[in-house]
Amino acid sequence: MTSESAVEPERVWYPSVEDIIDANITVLDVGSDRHPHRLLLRPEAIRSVIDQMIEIERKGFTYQAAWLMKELVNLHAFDGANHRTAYLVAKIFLRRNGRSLRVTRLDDAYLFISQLETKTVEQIQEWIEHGESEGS
Amino acid sequence: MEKAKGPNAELLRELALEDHELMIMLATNGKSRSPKPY
Repeated sequence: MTSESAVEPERVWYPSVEDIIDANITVLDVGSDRHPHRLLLRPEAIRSVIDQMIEIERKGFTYQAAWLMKELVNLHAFDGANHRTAYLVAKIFLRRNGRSLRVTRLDDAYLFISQLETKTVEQIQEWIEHGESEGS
Repeated sequence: MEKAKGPNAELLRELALEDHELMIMLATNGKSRSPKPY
């Protein structure tokens, strides 16, 4: 008689709409930004990005994080700091799932993040995994 | 300045502060690595 393993796979943690809005508020605060936080779109637009991210779960954490960064920048849900917000949301997604993303080369990271819309998901994934990542 | 209040607000702030210099550079279009005065 065979028995099935009782060990269930760990569930992937995903950010909520509130987390993404909080990420925008946080980066504006930490950056001493003079612009106030302002959501330009309905929360459902952010929810849709999260739902699509869940659908590509089989591609792995770093691909999902890269996809999320690009989608959040393209969505432009906030009046300001969309690039910083996308980076911070990808970072908390990786951290909550046991990975880390830590920048060591400031100038390179600044250039990469500020030009995210010109990068492919695969280029962003490569940057997360080999450019500036730890432990992924 | 508005503050994040959700269940992950503290972790978000901790992670942002890990990259404080980067956040400042992105906020100032690369012109500054130092925090602006409050």
